[in-house]
Amino acid sequence: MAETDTKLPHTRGKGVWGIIRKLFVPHHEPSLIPLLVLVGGAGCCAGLYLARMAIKHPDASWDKKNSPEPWNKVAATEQYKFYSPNIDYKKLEPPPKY
Amino acid sequence: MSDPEPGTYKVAEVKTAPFDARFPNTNQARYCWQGYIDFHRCTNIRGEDYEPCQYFKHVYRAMCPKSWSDMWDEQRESGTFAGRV
Repeated sequence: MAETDTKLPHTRGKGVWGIIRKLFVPHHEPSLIPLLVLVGGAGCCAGLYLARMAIKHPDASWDKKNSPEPWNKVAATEQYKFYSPNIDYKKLEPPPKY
Repeated sequence: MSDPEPGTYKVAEVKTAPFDARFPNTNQARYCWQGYIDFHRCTNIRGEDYEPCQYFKHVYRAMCPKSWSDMWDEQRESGTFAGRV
């Protein structure tokens, strides 16, 4: 029961709001810090990947007027994918110009 | 072509369209579209017999389903083709 437990340093850590406060104020519950670091880091990685895809993907176009065919602006040797085991992008030749 | 020796056969050398860095993912529909557009722009600008246009012809013949290229041919003839050629 609560009376026999050691007293928490604050008395407002009750119920759902107590849990929320412990999650968002790490120094109230230091054992939750690794969780926050890892989940926050994963969220940031996901956000960065989404931003990279929005900006640098060959098919991504935000401006209909100035960039109607964005894939044609990709250089013939530019690699967008992170891992490409069988295609050596440096050896690719561009299609002929006309 | 010389006949193959008895007991052997010749295999035709068949190549497909080369990898294009503009279209690195599995969905190659845009590569098909771009090849078709490039071939017809090329022949409209340079004429039917210009050699480099054949590169684009091989690309769209390899990449496009025949139903797509036939549909676009009909659209070009009737003037309803959506691309800029």
